[in-house]
Amino acid sequence: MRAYRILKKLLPSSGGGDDFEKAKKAIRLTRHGCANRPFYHIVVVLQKRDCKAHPIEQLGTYDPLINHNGEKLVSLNLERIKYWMAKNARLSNPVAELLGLSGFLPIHPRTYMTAWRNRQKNQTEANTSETATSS
Amino acid sequence: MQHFCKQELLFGKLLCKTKPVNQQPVRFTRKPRWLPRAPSKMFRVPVRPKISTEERNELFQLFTTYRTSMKSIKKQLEYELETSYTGQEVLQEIANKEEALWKKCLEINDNWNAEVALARDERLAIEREAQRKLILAQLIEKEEEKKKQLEAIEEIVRLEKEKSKSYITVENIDQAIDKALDNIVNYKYAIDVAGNIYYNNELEKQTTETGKQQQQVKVVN
Repeated sequence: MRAYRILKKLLPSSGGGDDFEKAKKAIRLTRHGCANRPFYHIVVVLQKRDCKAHPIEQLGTYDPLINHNGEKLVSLNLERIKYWMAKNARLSNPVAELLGLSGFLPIHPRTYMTAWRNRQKNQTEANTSETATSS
Repeated sequence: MQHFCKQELLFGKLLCKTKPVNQQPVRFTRKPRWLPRAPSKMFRVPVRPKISTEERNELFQLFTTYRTSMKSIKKQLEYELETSYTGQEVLQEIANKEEALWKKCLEINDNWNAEVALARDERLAIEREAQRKLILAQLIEKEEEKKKQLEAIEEIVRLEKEKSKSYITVENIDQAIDKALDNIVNYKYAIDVAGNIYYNNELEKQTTETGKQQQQVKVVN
């Protein structure tokens, strides 16, 4: 089971994978970190391929862990993203969110949703703590 | 395959219970699709997410606006990509570049032509000079030849004139006839190897020296 993932091909992760003219493509994140240290590449791949498949092109990186300045670092190759979007590549949700937050696209609804849910959660927590302290 | 599908056998194999050293693989193992639920999760009821109607409406609104804006953005990007290949300005720029290249090529060509023309003029001048000299030489040669020919002709004419003194003309024809009738020459004879002349199978001996000379001339002829 999943032997094809263990026997990884020695290919560059920055691109050069299969690209067929009429096949659907997707811009997505692929995890390139190790255990407890996620790190993502933003890549274009054929949509039907595996998440660890050899990408057509790498379009950027995303480091979800905050650094000592409290930043989550994202790098984007906007020209190529524009090109691939014009070529009708599908955007996966996390990538769309990242692009929305970077100001390249309109902000994704999921961002709003998580924000208000977090706010609600914080409020309820505060309320419960208040009630606990008052009682 | 059927006995492989049995739960105990499979888990026994996965957990390596049949081996003396108990190895338990933790990563990259997953319950196969055909196995039933795990016993610990048998009676778990998953909690459905509760979304209020307000939130749903809000999300619907947000998603619709997002989708429409994304559509328009995608169209714009497609348009931009297409114009980057076939836009008026881009085509104009390509045409300008081509024109500049053409101009440059023409300039190079003109320079080259001028260079070649210089070299050719020089060469042609030299060739013309050579031709002129050759023609001059030929003319001189021809003239000399003509002169020689004229001389030869004149020589012939002179000889003819000299010969014409002994010609038979109307004035001296009677004398010539008389002379011929006086000296009849008989050519009906034979000659042997020694040069002796035989008339009618008889040897005619000539004693005079002049006769000998005549005889020799005849032999030579």
